Amino acid sequence: MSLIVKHPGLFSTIQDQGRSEGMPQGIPVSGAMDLNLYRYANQVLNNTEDCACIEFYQQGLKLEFEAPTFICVAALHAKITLNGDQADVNSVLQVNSGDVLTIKELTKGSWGYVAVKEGFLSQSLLGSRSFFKALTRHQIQKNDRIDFSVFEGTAGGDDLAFDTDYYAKTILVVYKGPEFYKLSETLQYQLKTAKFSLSTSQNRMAYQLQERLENELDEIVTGPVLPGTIQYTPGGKMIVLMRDAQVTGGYPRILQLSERGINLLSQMRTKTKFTFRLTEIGS
Amino acid sequence: MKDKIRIFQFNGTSILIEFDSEINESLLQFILRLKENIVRGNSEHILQVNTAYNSLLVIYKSTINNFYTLKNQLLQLISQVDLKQKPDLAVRKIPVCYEEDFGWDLQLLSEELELSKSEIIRRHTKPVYTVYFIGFLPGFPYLGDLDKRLYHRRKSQPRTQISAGSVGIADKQTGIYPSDSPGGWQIIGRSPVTLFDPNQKKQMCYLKAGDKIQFEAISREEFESFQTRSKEHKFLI
Repeated sequence: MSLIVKHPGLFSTIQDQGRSEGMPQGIPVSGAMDLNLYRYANQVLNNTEDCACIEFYQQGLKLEFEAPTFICVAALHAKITLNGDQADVNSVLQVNSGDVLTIKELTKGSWGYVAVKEGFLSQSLLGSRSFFKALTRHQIQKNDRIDFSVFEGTAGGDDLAFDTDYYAKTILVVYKGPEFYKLSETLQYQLKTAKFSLSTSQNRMAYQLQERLENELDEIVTGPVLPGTIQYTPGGKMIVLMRDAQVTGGYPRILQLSERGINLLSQMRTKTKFTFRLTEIGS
Repeated sequence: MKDKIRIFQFNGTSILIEFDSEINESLLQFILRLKENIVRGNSEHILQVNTAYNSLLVIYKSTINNFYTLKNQLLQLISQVDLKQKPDLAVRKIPVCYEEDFGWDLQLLSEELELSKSEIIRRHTKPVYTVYFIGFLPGFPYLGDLDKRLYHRRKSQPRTQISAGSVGIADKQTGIYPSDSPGGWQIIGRSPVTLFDPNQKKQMCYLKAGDKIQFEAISREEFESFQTRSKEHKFLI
């Protein structure tokens, strides 16, 4: 059975934990921008970790279900309705045939997830259902039908307290990138102490920082990059590669975000101030 | 080669191996053999290994708790690389139509490089290029050794849309766009070959690191007949 997309919202896609193969063919890892929130959404429904969710940005998603099941809308904070009545995020919601879920607005954070019992069933390629333009559909569109399995059990899961503390801090744990050592002491110090913020240039491939640091480094011999790699451009801009990052790059890789750092940053909005905490990996 | 190795923990689950040496065919062969050794020896612990000009990124399935043990393991694998085994040297011909509709920047290059169009085409189709790795876009090959006379800087303003199959030049590199994409390369022709097809589950990507290719100039008519045929047989040349 399926649901019908009445309104696609912004940048809505199907996402799971991403692809664990494909990099040698130039295929990004992809996966949920905030894997912590994605995993939470599945846990609420007692789903396995790999159950695909609908990822949406900010607002405007409207879905009509054609069969009964249980869902969970995971968000830092959001206004949602089920059949026009206000409903709770981060809890188990029962839906019946004909029910309409509307995401009115995320009031905190940038990305939210709609999980369904046993996951959405879009096409899987290289072990993942995550959308990526060259491989699958680009984005969810109006009138799309998205399949899921009918679930007629009486209990969809267990409400599970949402850990708001996870998102309370504006300190991102980072590790030294391969080219960090090439930076002058002044720049290293600035990275460790200065406050940074996100620019408006944000998408699933990369988030660009607002501040510039006077550039000292030449481009490097093109080498591997990963989600969370922070590149330093000739113009002194810092680009944080996100989940749909290309697999190689030629800009110096000065920092690498921790997994939690990627999740936290993904949810930050333009102009939110944050600092980096440079840490040894594993400590 | 062993004296110039850097082994660096990249994040919680991956390690970068970087060789500080000249980029060339023998380094590429070394890196590809090393990748085979790494995957063969530890397949149950390794998710994937990505390679580039002078480095490899080894991604493990679980969090690395013992970096120095893994580093020693990798050093040992590096010391065991056997270069005697000869690589596959078969050359794949990639047809390219350099005619006007496709070679958007051929005229510009001809003026700026002070070479006739036919001389540019001759110099572009002469070498056997090595695929160093696939990056930037799914299926995009980074090719080595462009004729020095064809080096040309990228466009100062990237185009918003470059068509799939477009063959371009950027600095010291030449390459083929596997899918429609924005891009800043100087476009000199277009190939009808499908370089990346997600529906070909066994082999999505026509090329892989280490492959040898050579461009072959074709006419507009040949381009069109090729396109019709390749719709029936993907990847078939």
